[in-house]
Amino acid sequence: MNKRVGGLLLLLALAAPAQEIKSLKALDALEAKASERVNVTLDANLLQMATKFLSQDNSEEAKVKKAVSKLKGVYVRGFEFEQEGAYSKADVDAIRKELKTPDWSRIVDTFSKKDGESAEVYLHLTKGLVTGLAVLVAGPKELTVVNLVGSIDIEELSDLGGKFGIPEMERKKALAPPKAPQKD
Amino acid sequence: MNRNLDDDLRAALGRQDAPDGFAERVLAATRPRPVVARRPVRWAWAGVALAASLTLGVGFVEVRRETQQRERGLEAKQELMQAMRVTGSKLRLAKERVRHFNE
Repeated sequence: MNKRVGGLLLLLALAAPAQEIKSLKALDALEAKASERVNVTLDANLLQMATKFLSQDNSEEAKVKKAVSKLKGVYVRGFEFEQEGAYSKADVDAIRKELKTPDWSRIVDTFSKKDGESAEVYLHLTKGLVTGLAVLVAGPKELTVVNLVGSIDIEELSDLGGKFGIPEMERKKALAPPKAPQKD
Repeated sequence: MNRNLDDDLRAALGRQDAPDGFAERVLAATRPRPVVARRPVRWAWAGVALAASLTLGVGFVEVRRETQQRERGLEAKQELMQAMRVTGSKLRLAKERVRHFNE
């Protein structure tokens, strides 16, 4: 029975697009430790359903509608913790390992020594086109992983954050100039 | 010959007494039968009621399905907006870090 379930899970994992980070679901175990969390899993069907309710009259919703029109999946896991050390390096390394395949390219890799926070942006390229995006932000009390599957205009997406104002998960303090900006 | 024909006609058309109980049977046949007459009407109403119930049932299921779909869609929309807020903010964070470094 267990072998059958295992086989089914393996098949499902293999059926998922290459741009989808499989180890993302493993982070769900951190929910119990988190003081704040964001957990979004929207596959193509749910995305289609969601976009039907985005109003063209509302400028923000219209922008989102345009930005996600070619997406096939949106997966976000975000956690804020009361204390440091709530997640392990292995949790983050499992995701980084998946993003080390040739199809993924790390376009941004920053580290703030002051905050102890790293921010990485990866693009999945297929024949020169962006077909996936991953953002990994890891701080002492925060871990956020964003995974978008499908055709993406990264400028459109970063514009959304600016138009929506300061979100809950955004750091309240102003960014300090990084003293040690590059990791590795 | 003619006399015989007259006799035959007289015998055939002559008055005869009705058989016993003939009058009762005629009266019974002409008596109104309310129960037999109402039965089809009752079944017709039952049919209409059944059809109405089925229509209402199907309508209710359809409305409920649409309501659930709408609720799920609105929920998905909220999740999408939240996901896009987080994505946008984290991309901006990375962008600002790079800009700071370049400055």
